[in-house]
This record gives sequence, C-alpha cells and structure tokens, in this order.
Amino acid sequence: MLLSIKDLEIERDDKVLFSPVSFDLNSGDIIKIAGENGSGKSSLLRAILGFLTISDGTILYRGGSTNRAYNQFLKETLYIGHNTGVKDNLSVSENLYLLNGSVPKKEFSTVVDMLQLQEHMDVLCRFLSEGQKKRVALASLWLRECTLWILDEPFVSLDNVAQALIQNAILKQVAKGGAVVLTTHQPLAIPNYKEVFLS
Amino acid sequence: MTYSSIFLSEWYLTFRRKQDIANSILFFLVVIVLFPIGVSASPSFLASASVGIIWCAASLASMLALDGIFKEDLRDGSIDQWRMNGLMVSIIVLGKVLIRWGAFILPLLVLIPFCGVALSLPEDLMFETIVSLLVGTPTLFLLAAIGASITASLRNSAVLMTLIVMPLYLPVLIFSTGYVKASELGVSGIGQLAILAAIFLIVLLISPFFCAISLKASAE
Repeated sequence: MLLSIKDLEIERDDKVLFSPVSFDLNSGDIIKIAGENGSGKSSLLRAILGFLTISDGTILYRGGSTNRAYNQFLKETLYIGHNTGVKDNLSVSENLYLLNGSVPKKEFSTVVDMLQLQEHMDVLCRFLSEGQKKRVALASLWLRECTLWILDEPFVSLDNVAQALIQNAILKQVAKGGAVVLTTHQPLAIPNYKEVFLS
Repeated sequence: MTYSSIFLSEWYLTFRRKQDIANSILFFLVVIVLFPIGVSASPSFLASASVGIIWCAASLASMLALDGIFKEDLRDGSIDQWRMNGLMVSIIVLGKVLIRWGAFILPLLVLIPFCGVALSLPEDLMFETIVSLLVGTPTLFLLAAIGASITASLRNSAVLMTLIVMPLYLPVLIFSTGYVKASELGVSGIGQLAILAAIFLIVLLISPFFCAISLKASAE
C-alpha cells in the first residue's frame, strides 16, 4: 500500500474543516477528492504533504509514518498546487529549468512541443495567459519520475486539448504503477477512479 | 528543482528586478546628500560624523533591499516546491540573501569613495570604512532576512520589519563605527573588527534556520 489515511481531521481557526477522512491508495489507484468550495480539499492535500498540521488521525506512507521517511516521501511525490512555483519574471525555458533542474535539458523539447509552448520559450511568464502558465507547471508530469502525484485542480484554466493530455498522462502514470490523488470539480473521463467526498 | 537551478534563477531575477536594489542604493545616496544640508556642512563637523552617517544610511538601505525578498516565493508557491524536492529551506535562504548582498555591495563600494569626499571623510579612513562595510553588511542582511521572513505574509511589512530588525542592528552599528573611530584615534581597531566578524559568524549560523522556520509557518 502506497498511502493510507485514517480518520484525518484538520482544524483551521478552531473550526474542524471536514468530518474525519479515511482512504487507502495502492499503486495503480486514482483518487478524486470532491467537495464544495471551501470544504478543505486543498488543505487535505497539503496536510498529506506535511505542510499543514493535522489535528487528528494518521498518515502512513508505504506502511510507515510520513514523519520517519519524510524526505523519501517528498522526493517520490510530485505536488502541483494552485500556486505552482512558476516565476513571473523568468522565461518559459528558465522556469522549466528551475522546476525540473535535475532533468537533462534535451528532454524538454518533446514535452514543450506537446504542450505547444515552443513559440514562447523566451517569453517572460508574466506575459503568458493563465492556461499557458499552468502548462509550464504541468510539464513536470512528463519530465519527472515520481510514484505519487498530488494534483490540486490540475484542469483549471486549461483548454480541452490540454485537459485530454493531462488525463492521458494520469492514465499512463497509473499504468506504470504510480498513483494519483487529485481534486477537481469536473467529471473525469477516466474509468475506475475512487471518489472521496469531503463534508 | 536543485540548489543550482534555484540559485541561477535567483541570479536572473535579481538583475531582472533591478528596482529593488536601485531603490535601496538611491535611498542611501539621498540620506548622504540630505544630512549635511540638514545639520551642518562644515568639513570639521562632517569629518567626525561621516562614518556614522555612512553606516546609518547603509543599515537603513540594507533593510530596504531585503524587504519583500521572500514575498514572491511565498505567493507563487516556490517554498512548497523547494520542500517537495527535499531541499533545505535554510540553505536556499542563505543563497538568496548572499546573492542579494552581492548585488547591493558592489554598487555601494563604487559609491563610497564619492560619498566619502562629499562628507569630508578623512582619506586615511576610507580603507577602514570599506572594510567595516564588507564585514558588517552581510550581518545586517542576515538579520534583515529574519525580519523579512517573519513579515513575508503581510501586505505592508516595512514598519513591522523595521521594528523587529532595528534593535538587532545596534551591536553591528556600534562595533563597525567603533572600529573606524579607533583607527581615527591611531589605536588598533582589530578587536572591534574581530567582534564584528564573530557576530557575523553567529548570525550566519542561526539566521537561515530562523528564516526557514518562519517561512514554513507562513506557508501553512
């Protein structure tokens, strides 16, 4: 088992965000976290990563607590949140290098072509649209090798073509034996995903 | 993300956003120019006050140079990504502060001889003034980084940052001007310089960790 969440609770300003959540994630699983706006979807993802203190419950990664093998856990995990780490004052190619510094630069070109960013490689990201910035951040999905993907609203501000690309990438990731946790408000065109509803 | 990719990007960003450094250098110059006009322009008064004026201006300017150094990283999610890649936030903080210090001290060193002439700084004290700035300003930057990291999530942070950082600046100010004053009196100021270097080493050890703790807390 890759990830096991048991009775997880998060408090913000002395208010419990959602009733206790439990789910198991095996390799090959896709879990969609659903819930209304403000129900704590993003907070749940950040709590799994250890960026947010949890008030109750346990998170186990590969059977051990995430505290113990924390760095290992983070290295095997790819997290793309609302704020993606894309710098406005760096060009697309500089941002790709910043976010994927461990990847040889020659591997960038196929992904850049696929995401249709090749004409904007030397443009500063502040001159790009939201969707294009999101593509720059999502390039990591193809460039980096991570077992667990944690994606917060990956489809927001993307067009249909890009959304289909992401869904394909997710299918490939689970076919390889990885696992994906994502939040989204739209129906997924992916078979066999589990849904966790926050209330 | 790797340390080298982050530091290279930071290098680009520092030179792409020149206004941060330019503002603080300009501020430094304005203080230097206004002081003699406001107090007294007589060379005998300025000669004894010049080191103090230069140091006060430099410490205020250093605070201005670091205000907002972590704001963008907090807003655009960079801090999360540093941690996701298993990198130590404290090392990245140290790298960022040193890059910013490099971009600040180089134009300052070019300006100091001119400021010295404008403030009737005795010629034989020029070397000591520059040495004191080279040893003292990294400490100021590391201290200001603590203030900047605590106030990173605030919109208007300048006043709070000044209140947090100013008391910490006092020892640096005292020993650096003390070093130059000692040379002026003809005694060796090496003791003051050693204390200044010792303060730097202590701050070098603790500041990045304080910054990392408060940046992680701000990112929650």
